[in-house]
Amino acid sequence: MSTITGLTCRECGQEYPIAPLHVCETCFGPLEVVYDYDSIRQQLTREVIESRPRSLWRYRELLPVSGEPTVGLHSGFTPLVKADRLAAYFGVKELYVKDDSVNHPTFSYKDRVVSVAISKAMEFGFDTVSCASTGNLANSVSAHAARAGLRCFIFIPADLEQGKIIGSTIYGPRAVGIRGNYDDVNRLCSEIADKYGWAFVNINIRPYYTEGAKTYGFEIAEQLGWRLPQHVIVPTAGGTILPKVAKAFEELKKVGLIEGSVRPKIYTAQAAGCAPVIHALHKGSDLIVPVKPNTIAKSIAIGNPADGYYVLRAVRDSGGWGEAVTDAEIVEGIQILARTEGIFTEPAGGTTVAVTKKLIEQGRIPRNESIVICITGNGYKTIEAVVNDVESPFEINARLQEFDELYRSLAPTTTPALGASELH
Amino acid sequence: MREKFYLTYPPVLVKEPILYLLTKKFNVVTNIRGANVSHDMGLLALEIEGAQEEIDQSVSWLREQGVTVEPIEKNVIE
Repeated sequence: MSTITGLTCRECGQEYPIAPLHVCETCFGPLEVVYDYDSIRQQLTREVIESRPRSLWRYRELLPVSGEPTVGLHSGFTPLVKADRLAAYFGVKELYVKDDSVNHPTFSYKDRVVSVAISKAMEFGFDTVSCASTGNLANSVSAHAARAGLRCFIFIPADLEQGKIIGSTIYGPRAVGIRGNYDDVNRLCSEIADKYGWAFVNINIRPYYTEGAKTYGFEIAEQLGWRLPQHVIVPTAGGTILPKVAKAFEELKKVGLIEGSVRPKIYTAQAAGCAPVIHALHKGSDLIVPVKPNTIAKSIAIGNPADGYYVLRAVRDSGGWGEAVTDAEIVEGIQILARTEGIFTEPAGGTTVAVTKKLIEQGRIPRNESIVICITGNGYKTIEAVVNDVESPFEINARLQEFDELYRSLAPTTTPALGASELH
Repeated sequence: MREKFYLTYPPVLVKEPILYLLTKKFNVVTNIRGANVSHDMGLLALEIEGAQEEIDQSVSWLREQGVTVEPIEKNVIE
């Protein structure tokens, strides 16, 4: 039985039926899914959830689909790693890494939102799914469309490097490179979504798509033993995930799955080369001034985030904060996570790690409270970001003596992981 | 044709009658659906109605003036 009752405008409150709509006809505000929480409270218990397969669909009553899920059956339920070595490095007591770099099937948190979006698109009867993307989103839409047997169109800027789209085109979508600047590409995609009646996952299916991001928050709570952390650091690009993590925590309380008074403080992380939300946050403004991105963190380089305002609101409501870090700090963040916890993340994750470090050093995040760092993507997709910052292999002939000499010359100055002296 | 846009005005243009000039210059009907204007920025949710060519020229002219013009969905490239 469906637990959603309709859509409502986030700005003016006007109500709409469950349909592929995303913008309020009156005020142009974004639409949000409405749930029957009383019904969910009756149906959904910890025991029911824990009895289900380990995927994002174990929280299906809190997702905007009807009936049995059909797409993304193995997406979600990624590890929540207790990161003791990283905690020691930062000098904090209790630290976790929520690791969507190993999300199925395309190694980013996008597999969550796309699973829900395409499931909903199939319910609506669409036969074609689409998106505009330079990376993770296109990978995920292409893979899920292939698995579901749907037609798929991917729109990319025409000058995007070939290597960036193989992770999508391998799944067999039609990929279309669009000549023009990003503003032109954005406008064309909105027009295509309107004209062709396709399920554009982050345009006309957006209210449903974004709901998939809540599962990241649900899982954090369940994996902590049905409790909430005190501090959560989330990267911000379009602004989908952070407000939905906040919503997830609130919903868990609302339907009685979480007790207690902990209100997690939520922090937003951006790259200094694309930090429109951080600028507004630090200025105390509600207005997000668009920027032209200039950072290695391409997957979060969105100059005018669709849900930026809602990120600001969620951060402020939670009592959290946010910071931006330079590209050099981002690379350092990637290395720190790899060398303490064995997790290789993309620059978005490096940003989150580096921002966490900065917030701890500023004293904004206390060292004796529980912290979760949100890692949303995989470093194997963005090797070029760190290629100049890792040690090149040494080369020797196949003789033991040469290795002995090399080994003597290395020890004790070079270590493959952070040395004890670097750990607090 | 009707298209929905977000217009972002930089501080230097906040006091300029941009929409008045736009409708004098092009054969389009504008309809403001939402606005938030401060001393350092203006944000407008706007519907523009007219022939496709007139809308396209309107968008190009607004951008030439220094206004950021985006679809109502803002950045959809993720």
